[in-house]
Amino acid sequence: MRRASLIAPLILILIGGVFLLNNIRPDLSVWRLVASYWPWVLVGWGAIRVVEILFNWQRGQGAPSTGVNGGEWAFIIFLCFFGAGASAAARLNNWPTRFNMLGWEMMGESYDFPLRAEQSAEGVKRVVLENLRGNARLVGTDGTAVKVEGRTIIRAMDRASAERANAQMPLVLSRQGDILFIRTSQERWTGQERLTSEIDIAIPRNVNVECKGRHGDFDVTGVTGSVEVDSDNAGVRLSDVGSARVEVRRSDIVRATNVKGTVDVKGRGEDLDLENIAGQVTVDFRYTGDLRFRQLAKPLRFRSDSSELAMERINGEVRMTRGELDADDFVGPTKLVVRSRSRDVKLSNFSQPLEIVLDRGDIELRPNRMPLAVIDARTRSGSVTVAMPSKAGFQLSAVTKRGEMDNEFGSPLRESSMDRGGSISGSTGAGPTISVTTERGSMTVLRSETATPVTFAPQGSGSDSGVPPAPPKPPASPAVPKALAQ
Amino acid sequence: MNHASLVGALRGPVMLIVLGLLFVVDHNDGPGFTNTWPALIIVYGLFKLLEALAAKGALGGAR
Repeated sequence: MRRASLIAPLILILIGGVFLLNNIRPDLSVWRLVASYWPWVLVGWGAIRVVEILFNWQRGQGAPSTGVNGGEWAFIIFLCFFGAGASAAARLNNWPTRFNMLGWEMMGESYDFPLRAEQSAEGVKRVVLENLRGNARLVGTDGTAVKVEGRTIIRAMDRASAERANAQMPLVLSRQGDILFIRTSQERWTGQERLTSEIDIAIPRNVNVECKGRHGDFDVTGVTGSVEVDSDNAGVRLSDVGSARVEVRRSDIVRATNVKGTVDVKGRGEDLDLENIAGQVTVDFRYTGDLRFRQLAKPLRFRSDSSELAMERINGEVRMTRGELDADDFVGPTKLVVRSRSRDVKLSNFSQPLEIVLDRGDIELRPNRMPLAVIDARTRSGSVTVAMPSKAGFQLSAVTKRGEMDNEFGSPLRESSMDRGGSISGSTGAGPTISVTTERGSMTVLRSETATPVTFAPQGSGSDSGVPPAPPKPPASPAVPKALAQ
Repeated sequence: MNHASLVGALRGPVMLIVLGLLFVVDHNDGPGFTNTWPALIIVYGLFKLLEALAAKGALGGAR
């Protein structure tokens, strides 16, 4: 007798496991994992069935008439449509954060209750906001009072039960020493009704701010003190703040602009956008979307699951997706390491030493700044293109172990072949060592005519843009004597 | 019990594996499924060819 297939019970266990994980670990992006990895279910299914058929055949039990029957194909087609839809939704960033098909999401009505409170903040140094669910916007003002306005939205089957829930969770402003707490008290309600609080808060400009929540965005503007945000799931937007520390377990975006001090971001999410930051930037962030760093005056230290990046200053822009890194106009020493992922790297207009270590991916380097500094760039698999300034002195060693070479720089650089690869090397005069290596991929060395000299300035002065100073204006024309002008 | 029936039985699961791998490639920024789907036809054709060969005994004959 042939054994029953293991496929059906395994799929049931998998489906149950996904729903269970989604319920007990709301901080994990379980549905996002499903959207990413569902094709492996098909691969695993096929592999298990192949093993079963070969096992039965080996034991002399013969082969089934079909390896996958009609009903199973129908389920597979459904799975493909579901998976492709899930992946598309995840890419469009509008993935529902929780599935709650049997709860209040699809039933009942929304009831609004206004929120309003005001309290003097004389002598307050720190404002702590606790809002579990809902969006909050904090704006720094010149006044000395804290003013809260907004509404609580309660989804319930009838108005009476909504009112009962609202009565349980008053808006509380309480003071302990120089700390003012703003609490929407949502944790006090344990019923089925779903609640969120949308609030606008005006605070004195010079306080420090701390925001805590589980699900909802935080926008903070115009605060000279520090801003700290800690949430399970939040979009965070900060502008014109003293310094920022953000920790999120899930996020669609973390954005900070015009920050006078340091920025520290931790956690995971989709996009990260930092612009015009005066202090050091430290980022430890697992991201799925785009990263953008613009105008960072102090060093950047970035780390994610697969890559590390360190730069000393960014005058232009660094943009990173899961598969690409484009950086333009920055100052090193720069170090980039990408492990176990394919990433194409394109760097232009940079000075100071550069080190790149890639597993897979193309490298394109256009320093365009003189004097050149040491460059050490390596990729295991990918083509490498280097555009060297024609007037700079350097010692080049460009090696491909397996691939074509193209020396468009010309003399004095020379090509030499060995095995299935070769090297382009030579010296154009006294200068740093430029070493670029690929184990598999083409190697191209170009001649660049557009290099500009770097004017070195004390670090942090922000004046080292790599652009030469403007020539002095010609003196004004001498005044023409009136007698001659006539 | 012959090789033709074994090849016929393996056709579905192997196509399933290929289908899954095409989606995996699609998800990892490789060529999209809209471009790679003809690979499924090729795999199906290869298996039909193997079945025909096995039926004629070209793969070692009936057991």
